[in-house]
Amino acid sequence: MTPDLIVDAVLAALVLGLASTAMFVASVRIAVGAFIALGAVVAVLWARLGAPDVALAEAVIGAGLTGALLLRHLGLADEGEGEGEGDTGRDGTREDARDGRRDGGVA
Amino acid sequence: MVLGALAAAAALFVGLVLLQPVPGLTPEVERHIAETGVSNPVTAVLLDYRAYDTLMELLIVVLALLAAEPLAPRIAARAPLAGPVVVGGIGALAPALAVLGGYVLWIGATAPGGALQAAALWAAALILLETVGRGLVPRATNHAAGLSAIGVAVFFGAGLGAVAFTGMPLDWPAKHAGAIILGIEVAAAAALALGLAALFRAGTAAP
Repeated sequence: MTPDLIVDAVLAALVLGLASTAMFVASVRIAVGAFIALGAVVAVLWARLGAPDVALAEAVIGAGLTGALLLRHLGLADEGEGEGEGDTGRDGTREDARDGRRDGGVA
Repeated sequence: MVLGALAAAAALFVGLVLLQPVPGLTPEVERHIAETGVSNPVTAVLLDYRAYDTLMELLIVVLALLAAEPLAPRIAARAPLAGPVVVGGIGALAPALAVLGGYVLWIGATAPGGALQAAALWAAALILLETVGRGLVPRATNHAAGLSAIGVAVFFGAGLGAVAFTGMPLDWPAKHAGAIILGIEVAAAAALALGLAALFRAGTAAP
């Protein structure tokens, strides 16, 4: 095993781990964190594949923009909860986030 | 579900290993790169060969902004952050981001970089400034979208104007292609930065 191969194997394992965390974890907060980390790792992988332009775009869109928008609306969902049915959980599960979205929604 | 995802990942990996390498369009891109006025092949593809693609993508950001405003939860904006560290820090960081964005935009002609990357840096600077109450993006989202649309209109107008010189929309005259692409990238990056910053705080009312 060359050092390059080890780095790539670790990155690939990280991608699989972070992607499944983002998809399957119950806490939407952890899912968003995993998604942002996934964007960063995928950007590094693109750079290692010799595609710096794709790496930059992935870092900008995958980790940066989408991450910022997700975090922003995570915050909005939390604030929406406060105005809603009171104690609908601060543990930040996916259901809570959806409720919050509805409470603070266009209604 | 986890098993299904793992199976899909394994299938993709096997497919990737079995895939035969194909020549692709690299030789075509390199043959005509002198006519594009830029030497970075990615910029040549995005702003010359497939400029209509980039134009549509830019339009999508403006449309997303218009769509996000009525759909976003209505929340009062937070009071601006105060305190010497955060205000001073952002006061120093925002101009640095602005300069860095300009550099990334400029270098896009010859090396990885370009309008999207510059726009992300500029949007970050705009959002940071807004957190300390020194925002530059118009409060009303439709005003921001209107300003953003000016950038799209510049791109679109240049594309139409190219017909007069080359007979084809979005086909830049080879002699001035570099300058035209730089101008379009500046307009596109400004429109994108504004659009993204406004998208970030869509739905929030003034504090």
